[in-house]
Amino acid sequence: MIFFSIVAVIDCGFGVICDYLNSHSKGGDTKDRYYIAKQTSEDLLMMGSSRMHHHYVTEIVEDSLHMSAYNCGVDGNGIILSYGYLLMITERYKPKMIIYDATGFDMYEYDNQRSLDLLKEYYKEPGILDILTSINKKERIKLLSSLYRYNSKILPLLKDYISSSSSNQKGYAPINREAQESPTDLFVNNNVFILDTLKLSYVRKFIDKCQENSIRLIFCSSPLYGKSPESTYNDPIESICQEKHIPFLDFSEDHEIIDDYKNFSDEAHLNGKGAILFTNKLISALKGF
Amino acid sequence: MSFLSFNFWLVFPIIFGLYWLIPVRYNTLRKVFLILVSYLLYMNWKPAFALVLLGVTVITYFGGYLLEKNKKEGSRKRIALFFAILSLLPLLVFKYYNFINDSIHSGLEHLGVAFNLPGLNWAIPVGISFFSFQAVGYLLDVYHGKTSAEKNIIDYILFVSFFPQITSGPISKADELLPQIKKPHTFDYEQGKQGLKFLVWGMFLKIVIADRLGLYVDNVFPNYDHYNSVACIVAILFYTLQIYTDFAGYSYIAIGIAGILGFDLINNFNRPYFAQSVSEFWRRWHISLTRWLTQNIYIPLGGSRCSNFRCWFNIIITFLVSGIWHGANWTFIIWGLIHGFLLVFERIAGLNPKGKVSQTADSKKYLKPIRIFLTFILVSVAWIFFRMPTVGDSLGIIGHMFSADNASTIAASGINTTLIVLPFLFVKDFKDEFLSTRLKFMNHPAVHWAWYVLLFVMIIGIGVLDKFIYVSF
Repeated sequence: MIFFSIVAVIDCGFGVICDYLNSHSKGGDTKDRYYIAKQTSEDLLMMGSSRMHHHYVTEIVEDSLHMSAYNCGVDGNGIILSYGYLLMITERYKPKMIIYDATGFDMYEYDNQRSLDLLKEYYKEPGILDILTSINKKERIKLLSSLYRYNSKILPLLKDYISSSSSNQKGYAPINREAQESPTDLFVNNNVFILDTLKLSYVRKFIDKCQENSIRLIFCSSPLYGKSPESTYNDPIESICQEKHIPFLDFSEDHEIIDDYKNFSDEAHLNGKGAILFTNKLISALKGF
Repeated sequence: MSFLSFNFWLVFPIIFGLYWLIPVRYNTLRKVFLILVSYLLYMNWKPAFALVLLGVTVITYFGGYLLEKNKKEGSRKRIALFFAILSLLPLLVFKYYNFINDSIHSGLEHLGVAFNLPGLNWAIPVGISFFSFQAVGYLLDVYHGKTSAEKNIIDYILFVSFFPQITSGPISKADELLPQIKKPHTFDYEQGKQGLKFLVWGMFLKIVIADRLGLYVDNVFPNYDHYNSVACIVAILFYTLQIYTDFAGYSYIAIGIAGILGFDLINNFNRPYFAQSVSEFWRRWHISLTRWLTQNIYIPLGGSRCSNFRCWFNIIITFLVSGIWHGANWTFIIWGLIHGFLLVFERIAGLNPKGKVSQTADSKKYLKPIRIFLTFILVSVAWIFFRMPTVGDSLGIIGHMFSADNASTIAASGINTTLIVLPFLFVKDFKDEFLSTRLKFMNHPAVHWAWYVLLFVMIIGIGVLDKFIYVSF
């Protein structure tokens, strides 16, 4: 009993310290993610996975569209985390426009636990606990512990509290690496991919939330190296967009970009050069709306 | 169900409460309850696996019964052989059928003969190697007259299926566990406290150290040609520590859970990386398997009471079986043979614990760290074959360790935290190995409490939940 009482006291203290470090970070990923969740005020937000984070050059978008913008892409994450961020953002203000980078393979079954990691510390915000429990019902119990909420984050929190360094340009993080040889097509192999119905349900919720708040929403699929023409993985998103009357801009097979592997850093990501090329093409397309 | 799943920790307090609530006089009811729990937890992996477990249990039970009834040596031998093969059959089919089939196919292909049996796409029942060896060990003990055949089927079912040890051992002997099963237990606070200590230390080793090391290892090993030689060497050393903390951690959890329920299981590890020779390493590593192989393979082959050449042969065969037991792949066979040949070399050179050189060296204390270091390096190199999917990959990473090319060293995740937690392992093992009679302040209850609170906090605060390497054996 004494043992667990001491652990409970440490747990509470740990939570208070981590909450403070999280909200007072000076740089790094901690600051960027806290900014997305609690501080953004830009007219245009760009959301999605690493393909958003590394493909959409914020400065070009701002200069061309004459709107303040921020790139909210997060590596290794997707629609579930973005929906969580959207809930917190719309509690504060209503952005004019959101661009969501949704490539079909983001909707395949994969580790949804990842989304938990970045939302756990905000579980008290409206709607966030529902997201967490939709992934794993037992989260409701686990979240009683602050140590669990900030699991494995204490060192990054301390580092980002002390150091103010950041390589991001308003959320955009260019990759300065060029593929040395033609990367292989991610979907040529015979892996069987299964659509994740939970993720697709969050696409619908994301759209509904934007429509409810009168936010102009555009879905976009950025270039992907060597995508075979017969690939159909964008179809589920396209059909949801059609059903909900949301524009879907598909650049995944833009040959001007995908035919040159030097625009890529690996199979799924553009490098800095490719990102500039793509963002300019995106701007041209957006001006049509 | 894995001890590492959150679900297990939700149900375990209920198991604990109900088990101790059953009055001591209803000991049979307690045993039936433990059998029920063991089977339900086991079926949580896949219900059909329970049939294999039950099958092996029934076969060895009747094998033991027939051995006890039959007094003629010739027929006893035939019965022991028949029932041992029969009870090992599921292990052979599930684990080795595809490997044997593929090996024969590729061998014949080289000779220009096209012959292939259909492959099996079955999942391997969890812990099959452990419970099969435990059950066969019992059968052979009955045959050798080391234990009498168990008559009570309930006791025997619990002996084979006891949930703390079923997925990953330790491989208990009948004369260790069956008397404990028969004896009615009353809750012993000291035993429970010791169990909790094992449990916390095991959880710390497994999810704080092993899984954190795994983050680095799993990045580097499959893509070793993208990393420079330093990154590869670090990954190999990390894997050496990962496999120890992973397996020892899970074993300590099993021992801890059994302790909380009033059972003492054999300690499977005794700080193996402080061994001064590979021979000594095997007295400290996976002790219950080494004991099983010694008693059921090495000694029946003649052990060391024969000619030198025959003794070396016996060692090689024993480690070949150890390699095959660990997995159906040439890499495991080579890993076993490396250890076998190292043991033979040590025996020839007198470097084994009973050897002349070793006994002389014991008086020269400065040689001790050198011997520990060399043993650690040899064992680490052998682990490469254990970890890599093919022999080619194993040789590839060894070659890459010595290459001068400047392949990029991509920062592997979690290394900072890893470097912070590793000293906890070193301090604990170093203290237990060399300073157990000194540093008396560390035995003070306040220091003990602080240590275990710190470990518990780190388990929740920086633990990584991942798979258990040894569960696949």
